[in-house]
Amino acid sequence: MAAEEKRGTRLFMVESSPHVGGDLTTPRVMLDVLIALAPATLVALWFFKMYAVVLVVSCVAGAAFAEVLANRLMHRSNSLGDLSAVVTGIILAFCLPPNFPFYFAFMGGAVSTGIGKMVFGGLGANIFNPAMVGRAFLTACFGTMMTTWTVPGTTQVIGSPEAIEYGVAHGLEAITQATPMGLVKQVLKSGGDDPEKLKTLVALMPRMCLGSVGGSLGETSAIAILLGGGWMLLRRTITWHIPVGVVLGALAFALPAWLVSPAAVPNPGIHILGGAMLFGAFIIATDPVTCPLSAKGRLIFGVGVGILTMLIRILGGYPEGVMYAVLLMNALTPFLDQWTKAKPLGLEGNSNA
Amino acid sequence: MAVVKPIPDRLEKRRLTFKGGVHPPEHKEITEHKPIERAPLPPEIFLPTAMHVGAPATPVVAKKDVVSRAQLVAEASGFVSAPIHSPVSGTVKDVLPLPHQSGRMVLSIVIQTDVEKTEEIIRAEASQGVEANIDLSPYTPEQIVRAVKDAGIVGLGGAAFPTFIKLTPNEQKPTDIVILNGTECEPFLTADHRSMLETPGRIIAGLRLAMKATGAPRGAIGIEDNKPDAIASMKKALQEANVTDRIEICTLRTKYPQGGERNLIPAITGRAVPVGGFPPDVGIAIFNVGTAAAIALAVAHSRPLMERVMTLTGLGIKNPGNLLVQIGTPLQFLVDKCGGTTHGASMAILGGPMMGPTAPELNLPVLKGMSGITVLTHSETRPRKEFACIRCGRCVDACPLGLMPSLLARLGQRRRAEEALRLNVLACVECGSCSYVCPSNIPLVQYIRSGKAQAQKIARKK
Ligand code: SF4
Ligand code: SF4
Repeated sequence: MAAEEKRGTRLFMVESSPHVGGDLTTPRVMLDVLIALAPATLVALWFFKMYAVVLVVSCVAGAAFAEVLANRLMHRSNSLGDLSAVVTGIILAFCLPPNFPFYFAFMGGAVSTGIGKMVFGGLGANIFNPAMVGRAFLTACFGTMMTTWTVPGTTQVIGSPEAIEYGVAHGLEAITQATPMGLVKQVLKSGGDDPEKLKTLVALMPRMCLGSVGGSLGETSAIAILLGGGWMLLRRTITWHIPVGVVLGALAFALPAWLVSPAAVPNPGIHILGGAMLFGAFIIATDPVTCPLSAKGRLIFGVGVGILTMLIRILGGYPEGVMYAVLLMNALTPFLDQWTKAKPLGLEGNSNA
Repeated sequence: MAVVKPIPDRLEKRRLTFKGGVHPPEHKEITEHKPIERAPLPPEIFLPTAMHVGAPATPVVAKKDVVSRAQLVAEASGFVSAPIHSPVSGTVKDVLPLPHQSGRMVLSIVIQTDVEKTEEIIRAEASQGVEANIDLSPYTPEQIVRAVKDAGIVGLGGAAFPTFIKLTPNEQKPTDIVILNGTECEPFLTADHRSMLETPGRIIAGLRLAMKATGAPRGAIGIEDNKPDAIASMKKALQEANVTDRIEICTLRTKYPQGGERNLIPAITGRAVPVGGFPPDVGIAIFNVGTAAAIALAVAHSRPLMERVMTLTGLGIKNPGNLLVQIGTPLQFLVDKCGGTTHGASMAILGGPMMGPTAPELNLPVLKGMSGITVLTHSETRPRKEFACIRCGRCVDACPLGLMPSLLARLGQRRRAEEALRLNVLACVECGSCSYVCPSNIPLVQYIRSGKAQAQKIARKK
């Protein structure tokens, strides 16, 4: 108090303008992403029970561990408070098959933040989506485990004799023989000779909306993901450009093919509902750090992710392509930023805002 | 020079706004309904010789000199400069360097007020009004420019650029339109708002004089749509004046910084001020509404700029209001007249919270360009924890000038001035929109400001 009172005049705070700020903070942005992930988390808990808990906890723990460790080693202040490690951990967990071993999941989480983020200098400095770096690492190391899915609600591995038997017994043949994306791959490989499988796929569409099909922890329920995406749009955590871009990019491939031979290829709806397409469009690709800055750049980025995902699905060896599509587009982000740079008002060509 | 677009015929009909910007809470309700009150005369007046853009004025009085209200006490030194007149009758107590809002010590003239004498003159002035339909025929453009120059008028909106320079016609760059800025987009401030309600005729007279001086065939007054009463007041005054001049009242969307001239001009005319250029380059002269009122008084009654309307506002002030104050009045005196500061007062801002600088103490005097004092409280000025930039792009979307604030701030921090210069860092008007929206609370403007300073050095060398 003594310092504040000086010859009758008070000493006031001094700082650079502006002296007011908006309500939005970066932890709040991350919190909104977490809220957006809640519906998918509930669906995962419902179908996969303890498996979901174990994987989410392991991935988040791994991500947080690596972040704390890296901050210690680099003598930087703790950054867990920005919540980004939690977001990364959950997104990675959602990309894992439910029966994935928890210790590898922990490792994946650690690689996500450790190598995907911290070595670049921490939040905001990374080029690649950290969760996708972790996922790529796990795919490279444990490829088979990363593509072994269980029947929702059971421990039976999809495609195994026991699972098929279980499926026959419970009338669930459609989902015990293969995951939707596995089916898509088979249909595409058969070149149109497999109308039965295609029919199965079409019949699965309602289940794909709800999430009661084989697949990764958090990717299966289109409804849950749309709910979360809607929240983020509402809160302006994300803009519409990337999700719309991804869907447009995917449609650009799926629609013409289906129009030409509707009997031979999966309809566009299956492509969009299946696998991680929607999860990628709303939650993965919209990571602000690794997508372009401008609206135009984001639209192009989204279309790129959609097209690359389809290319990988159709031509590549993997049934799912969102991860590589996002990573590839991440690499292009600096160019997109350069290309879609804002033009200052008053420079030729920009006269009226 | 780029081809200049013609100005649309009917300005009033257009949808007037700009791209980018932010919507900070306005807080105008604190003072917008409070009529302008004349502040009492302070016992002493402090007149710094630097209260305008350009060279400081040179004192022409010495200690113990007796001066009267409106007497010249410091004359302009150089072309870009402005004379200073004493707002009070009294005795020069001293001429010495004193603290200034810039943080430096500036040569200032201290005058002891003779309250009685001064009040007598002020009472006499009160009968001298200016009507909107003032007869312009007695005044030549040269006379108008001369009167404004001699009156020491500078931009009252905050820029404090000598007004006569903008009024002087230029053969190469004829003025197509004179715009009055009545947007008052800074949160809290209501001085211009009240002036438009209380003295609309004087403002219109000033606009017509400015049009005559510059030779502009058209005039416009831009007002944000959060002040419908001001729009109505100006329209009514214009109608009643029944003048033939082509003047329009333009309604602009309320958005910060609508009052920045680089956003106001394109919103009204469709012409952008070129990067590195100025409004006259595209045929535009722009003044604050308060400046227009001062022009009217200077021309019609040879009254120098001695007083101005100021808003004292914010939760940190006990009885906020709009005051007509004498230039040179100590801020502490004014704040005391408003009941003093409240218990939680923690920051004093000269002007509004988006662009105004802070003052550590209220021992500073009112300057010509000071539009208000905003005192914020602890709850509003809590320190904000800074996080890393998450590249969310909000600052880019908010920048009203289409710059890349996050990038410019980083370049400023790393002292990469060459690159910042290429990315037009000098075009930044320091409006604060980028810092305002940044969720990571990065003081972008502060970093960009230092980048600008570095870039200016390089630009000067070139
Ligand atoms: S608003 Fe802040 S966090 Fe977002 S891009 Fe700009 S500087 Fe980075
Ligand atoms: S970069 Fe400059 S002009 Fe753009 S928002 Fe920030 S302060 Fe305003």
